[in-house]
Amino acid sequence: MMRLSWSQRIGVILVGLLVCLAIVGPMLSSQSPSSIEADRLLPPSASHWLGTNVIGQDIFSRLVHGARTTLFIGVMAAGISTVLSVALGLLAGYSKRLDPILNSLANMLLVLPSLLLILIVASFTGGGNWQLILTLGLLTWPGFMKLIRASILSLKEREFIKAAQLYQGKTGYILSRHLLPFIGPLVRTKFILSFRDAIAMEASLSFIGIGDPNTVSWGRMLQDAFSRTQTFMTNAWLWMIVPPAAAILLITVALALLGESKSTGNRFTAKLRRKASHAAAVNVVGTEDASAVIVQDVQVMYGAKTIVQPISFTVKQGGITSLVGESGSGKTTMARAIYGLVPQQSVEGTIKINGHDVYMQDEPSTMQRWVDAAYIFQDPRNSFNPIMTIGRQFYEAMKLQTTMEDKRAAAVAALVEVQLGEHVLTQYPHQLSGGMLSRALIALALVNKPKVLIADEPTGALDPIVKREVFDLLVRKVKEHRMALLLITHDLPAALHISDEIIVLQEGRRLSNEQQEQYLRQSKQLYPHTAE
Amino acid sequence: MLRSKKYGSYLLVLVFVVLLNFWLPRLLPGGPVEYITGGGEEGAVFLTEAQKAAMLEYYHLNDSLGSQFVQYLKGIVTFEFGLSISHKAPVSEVIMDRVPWTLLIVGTASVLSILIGLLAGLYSAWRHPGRTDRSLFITMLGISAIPEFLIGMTLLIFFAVKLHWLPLSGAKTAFLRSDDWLDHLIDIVRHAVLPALTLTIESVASMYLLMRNEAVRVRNEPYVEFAAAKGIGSFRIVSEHITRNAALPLVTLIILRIGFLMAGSVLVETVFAYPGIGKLLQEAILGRDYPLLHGLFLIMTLFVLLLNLIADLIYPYLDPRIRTAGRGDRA
Amino acid sequence: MRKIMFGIVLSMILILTACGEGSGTSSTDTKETEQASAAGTGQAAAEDGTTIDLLRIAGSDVGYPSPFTFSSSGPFGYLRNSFIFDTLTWKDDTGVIPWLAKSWDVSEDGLTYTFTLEENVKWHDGEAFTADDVVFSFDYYKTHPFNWNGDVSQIKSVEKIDDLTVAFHLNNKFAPFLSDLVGIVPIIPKHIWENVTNPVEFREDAALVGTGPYKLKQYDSASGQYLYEANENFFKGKVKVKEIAYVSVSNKLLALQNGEIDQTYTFNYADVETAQQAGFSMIKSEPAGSVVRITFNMEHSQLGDKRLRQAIAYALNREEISSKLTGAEPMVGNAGVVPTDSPWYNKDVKQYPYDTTKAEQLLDELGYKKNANGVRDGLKLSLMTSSSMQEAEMMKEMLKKVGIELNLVQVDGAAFADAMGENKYDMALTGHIGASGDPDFLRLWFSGQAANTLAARGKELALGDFHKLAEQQMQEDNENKRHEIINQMQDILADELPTLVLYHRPFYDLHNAKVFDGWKNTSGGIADGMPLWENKAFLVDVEK
Repeated sequence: MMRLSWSQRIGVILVGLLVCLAIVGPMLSSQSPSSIEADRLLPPSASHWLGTNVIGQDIFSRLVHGARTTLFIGVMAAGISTVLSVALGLLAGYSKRLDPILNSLANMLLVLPSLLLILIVASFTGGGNWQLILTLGLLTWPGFMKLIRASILSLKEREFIKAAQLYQGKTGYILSRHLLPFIGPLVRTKFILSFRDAIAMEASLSFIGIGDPNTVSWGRMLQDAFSRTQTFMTNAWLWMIVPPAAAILLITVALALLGESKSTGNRFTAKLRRKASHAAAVNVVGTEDASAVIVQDVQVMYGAKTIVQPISFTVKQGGITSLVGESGSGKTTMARAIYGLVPQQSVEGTIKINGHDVYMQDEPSTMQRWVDAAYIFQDPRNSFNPIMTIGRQFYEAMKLQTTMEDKRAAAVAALVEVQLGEHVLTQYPHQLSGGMLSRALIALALVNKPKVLIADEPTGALDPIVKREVFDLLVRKVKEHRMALLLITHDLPAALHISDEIIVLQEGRRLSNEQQEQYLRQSKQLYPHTAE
Repeated sequence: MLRSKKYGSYLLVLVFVVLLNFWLPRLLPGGPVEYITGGGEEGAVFLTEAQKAAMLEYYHLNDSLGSQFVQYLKGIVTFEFGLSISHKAPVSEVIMDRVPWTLLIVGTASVLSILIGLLAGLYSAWRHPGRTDRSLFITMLGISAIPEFLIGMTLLIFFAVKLHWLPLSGAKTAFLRSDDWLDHLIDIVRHAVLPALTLTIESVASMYLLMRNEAVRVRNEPYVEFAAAKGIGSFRIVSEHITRNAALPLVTLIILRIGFLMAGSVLVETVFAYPGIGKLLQEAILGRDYPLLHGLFLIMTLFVLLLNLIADLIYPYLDPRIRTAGRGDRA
Repeated sequence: MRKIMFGIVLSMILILTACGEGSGTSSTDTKETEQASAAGTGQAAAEDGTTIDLLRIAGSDVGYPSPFTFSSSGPFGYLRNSFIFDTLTWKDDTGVIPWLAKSWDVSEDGLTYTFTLEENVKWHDGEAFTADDVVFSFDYYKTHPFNWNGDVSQIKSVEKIDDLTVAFHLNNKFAPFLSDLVGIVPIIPKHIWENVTNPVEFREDAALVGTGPYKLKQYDSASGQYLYEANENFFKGKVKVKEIAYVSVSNKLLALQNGEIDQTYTFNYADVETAQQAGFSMIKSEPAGSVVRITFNMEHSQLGDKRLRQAIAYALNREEISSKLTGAEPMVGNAGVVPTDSPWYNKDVKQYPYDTTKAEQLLDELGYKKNANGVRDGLKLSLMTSSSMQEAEMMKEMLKKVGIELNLVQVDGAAFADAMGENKYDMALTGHIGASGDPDFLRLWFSGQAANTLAARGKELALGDFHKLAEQQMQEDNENKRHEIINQMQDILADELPTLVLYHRPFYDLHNAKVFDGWKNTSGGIADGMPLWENKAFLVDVEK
């Protein structure tokens, strides 16, 4: 059973209540919804809980019977539409021959606003409930069909499907066994949304007089009420309009809550509420022997899960410390925590960079990002904003210069240091190669002359030859500028080659000295040729 | 190649609509003459056979379907749809009389809902994750689910019937006697408030949801975290990095939404008796006013296709990746 | 002619609805003062011959008001047209009155009517009106049919005797000639229309040159608003109401209460009560004018038997239907169709009071036995409507009680008319006007003469002597004898029940008496029995 958010729970409860109303309600009310025995326009009373309408029909009874019609239309239309979406989506995704036909059909229906199409088709096919269900079902599938088709197309490329095909799996078997589970959540959302839309549509069409006169639905009740001026001239609107309107409102809102898609990948990041960094006038704590980075009893939690067990270490001024470990060992989280990129409440312990506390209770950290320290991400291509020129991405980070000319000159100088030309400033990231982007990133890290550099797999995304070049460049620059470097890497040989100190993380825990010795020995055996 | 495929599908839509437009009304029972003889709520008409025959003849309703179809196709090419049967005036004139009103409310609603929706979506993404974001999100989700006519009727009953703040219906006061253009302007604005507001409420929620989801997605992109790591203030991160990147894929969607808004105007114009093309379409369907239906449906389709086209055309100007790729100077 | 939005230059600036609406409150007192001020000099002006500046009436778009372009769906297009164009005779509260024709003579054989025309009548463009125009009009309508009722085929020829005298020769005697033919068909100017070959597309200003009391000043087809101004040279006398505005509103009663309009109508009695409480005056249409009725498909295998139709009539509590839906005193339908408050009503006609035992007895006789659930197997009927009508829901419940299962079918207007025309229905339910004028409507409805869908058109009903009587009454010029024939026709209808009137539905005029109080019922209804009040005869000080 998946976990539901509180709003989804409200949705479930409301939908449940209304479904109960539709099932149990008609048993509670003694009157038939169409009976015209009572007087007209009676206000609510013990015998007519919600009063009567203009021809003396009991509103409560109509409301609960109307619930059946409304929900029935909603479920059936949503069912047809969903089945069509899935079936045609699977077909289009799977069959190369049918795909163009189905896809262009879907495109066609998508271009025209569905409300317009439904309105026109419904006007001409007349009022019956089944006509309505079919109209809604047959015209509302394309949107999700395209989503499903797209996910099938991408799934098809995955290894295991190819493997299944290799072993002569039957198409149907592959579809149901391997693909359906992937599109399950999509189908659920689609069904709920279609359900909601069908109910809203039924009500709207009833409102303009297209509906089945033999049955009672909420939309029809509203149409009866709205079509008479008396309804809102007198108090009659209280029992003639409010109940069906509230019912429609509740069910559509409940379904909307229920169908809420899981919020897109809630990443483990700090809130976006920070002031811009500024260059501190004087670096107060700047003595040579002081540590550049101090990590003391730091523990990082994600919810109930501890990602980094309590750890302490320091990085000396101008020294190089490597944080080594396999992927999933918590080294990246550790690095991000040091730079203040994880939510404050997840971090315990003290972290200081250049003497500034990175996490402070109830007030913003005085550590100035990119001025006291800089942080280089794994993949340079993902680090640069794709629709902004490199130049602008330099300028916005530069705190030492104030005028545009100075900034430009400084940026050019930084680029020259990494053997890049001035023209790079006017280019967009996609116009540069991976190696050039990496160099640009290093140049960017240098612009404010920070004392500390944290680099998370700075060469991870590069091919081996370029990798070496860039890595050497990084180390050279760090040494030239007398910066402290905290290097996060799984490349143990490289780390051993340059580091003053190595810290090995395993499953969020720092290895003890003996364990580390053993670990390093094993690694040396694995990569003898890189050993010193 | 991709582009020509896209234009191909537009063409297909156009062909589909042109066919549907002609055959759908004729496949179903009753024609314009039947509508007239059926009379409205208040009256029945006694047409003699001679009168009836003259009508059929005049509107070429007795011709074979084939020749009617040819006539219809000619009309489409030349944009001459002939006389509206129920309005007894040239179709283009009937439509053009109403287009400004629809554009007024749909245009206002588009601008307002895009502005408010996008800003609220950004705000939500900025406060994400958090309580403000969550409650705004749930509220908008709820609003997006409410049927349009219900919002319209509620506004109508409260602001026009109960409070008398705004006029009940129509687009302007009939024959307002004033030489002052300002009075006329105020009058038109007062009439447009409720219909435009209804459309705005309806579409602001969907704009918000689009923007928020996209902005939250962008907010989780590494380059936004990197921008934060660069020490840029949160306001600039939102305005420079998140907004542009989130808005980019939305441009297409938003432009298409305007088309949906126009479809929504059918219901809203009915609620407020607003003389736009949505209401006209409904009347044309009821009256089996074939020429008018042809004109209306074609204009609405062209409008939607035009919006699609605009979206396709301006996208490259907003996205440097596509722009430069198009010029072929990819490094 | 076409509106230029801001370009109306008027010497007077009336403070109109804009401010009225703006400061409107729900209190009746303030509203009345507002209305009074809105009426301006028009206050209490109606009776003493002074003029009223502006009258606003609820209306919607019913087409360009030339005789060939007004909308023929519903009576309003014709009414808009009648303000501009005149007919030879017209009606007021007393009945048929002279209009363009000053007087007339009928020949012995009843086949020739000779009209003496008014002198000094001018068209709106200043040309003189003569007998040539009358002759031309009727000839023109033979090639270009008029948009509305008026059976021009009854006329053999129209002959000009001299400039002010015209003779009409008929094919046979036609009793309603004065009211339903020359009283309906408008006279158009020869000097304009003789050059027009395509009258439907003729929409220049000249198309609206008539002799009538009003000229069209402004027309906005999008919102359906019309503004008429008085014709100062009207031949019948001074036009009392200087301007008439038709204002399109979505809810007539609310608009009246908000002071957006001065006159409207309704058939809902509850609305009348609300309006009266708010201080508005009411006139009830007499005779009722509108009927809500079922048309039976006489070719249906089961409904073809009149006993089934009668059983249905007994099974329906029409009094309850009438009182619940109108909220007023019930007016149960006359089985003989003619409204019970019409001078042509036959009091002795067979009626069908609510009596379920009688209904069940008839149904048993017919062999439709009730099963265990109280449903008569094999008797499933459908009832077609063209809009959502709650009468249908009530009928379904009532017929359920006697074991008849009724299926409701709702289609739109055009599909409804189509199904009627092709006899693809069991029963059809409609409400419409046209029953209050000359009883010749009985012939038109049931003798298949007219293409009126609501009256079982196309196929002539097998109603025995009815058709013969219908022809007789049409040619009978003796009032008493005609009454007798009409009575017999009602007897046949009541026994055969090709249609069952559920109830007669009076229209109610609602108006603000402070603005204009000259509204009256037109005897027999305007033109062919419209139970409405916008009769130009009441807006003019008729001198003679």
